Amino acid sequence: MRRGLITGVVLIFLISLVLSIIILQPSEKSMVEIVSDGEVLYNIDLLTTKDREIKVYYGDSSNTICISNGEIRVKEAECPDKRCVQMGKLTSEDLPIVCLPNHLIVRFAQQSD
Amino acid sequence: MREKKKNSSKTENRISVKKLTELSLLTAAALILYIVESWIPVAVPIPGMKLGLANIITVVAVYRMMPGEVAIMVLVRLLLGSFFAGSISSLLFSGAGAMFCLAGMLVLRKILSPKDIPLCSVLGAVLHNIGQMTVAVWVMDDIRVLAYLPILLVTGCIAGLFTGVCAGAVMKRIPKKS
Repeated sequence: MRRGLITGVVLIFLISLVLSIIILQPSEKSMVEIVSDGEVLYNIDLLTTKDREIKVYYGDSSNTICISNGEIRVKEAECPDKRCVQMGKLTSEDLPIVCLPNHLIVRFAQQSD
Repeated sequence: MREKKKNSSKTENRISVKKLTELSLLTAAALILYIVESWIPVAVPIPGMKLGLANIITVVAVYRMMPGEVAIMVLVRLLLGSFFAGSISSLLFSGAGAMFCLAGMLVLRKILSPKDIPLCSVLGAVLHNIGQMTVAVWVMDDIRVLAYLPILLVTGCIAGLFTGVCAGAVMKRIPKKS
């Protein structure tokens, strides 16, 4: 039993490690979408969009999303932890920028054309 | 406090003052660790990632207390912790994680001896990550949030090992229950 559990933990760790490395690969795509509370609010092509800022509201709090030089990131957030701001610009295709308190997702769009 | 007494009187053996003091002390210690940890900046900013120092106390309590007592202790720590250092929305995620983790560790306690506390802690951390991701997927209503799980699991295993080793060290230093 004990040995089984140890093997299980080691397996979980190794599989997660490999998956993490795959997930953290930078994306080549340029279409991003901004999703608030399950609803796609914006579809943006990073290559053609001029620098701009977008404010997304959720209830009384908001997130300010900043697009510049073909990169997108959350610039400001009215939430307690500010993790989405600390995550910096969006690079990975599989790992969206998420603001859990404000139900906000910034990610690369699935279909590329 | 009143609730603790009510619970125990239902299950015939009244909670002793000694037990109550020990539970309160452990809760206070966990709360302090929780608040101190919130002051430490995280190296890698991933939502939901944490060292989980307060878990040291939870693991110790799992091996020293009755399951019901540990559950009350963790609930009190979660509530007070979110008042002092967290937010209501983070309470939802950490709460779900903590409940998964606690349930798992209470089962593992029957299988694993106190020597294997680090292993118990790592498995608890894995369950915690699964619990919080379940709520995250449910709240965000988007399955792709699940991409965070492997990263949380990698860091969770390391954090769980660390808190587990700490808990083992703490266990050695506090006298066995009489």
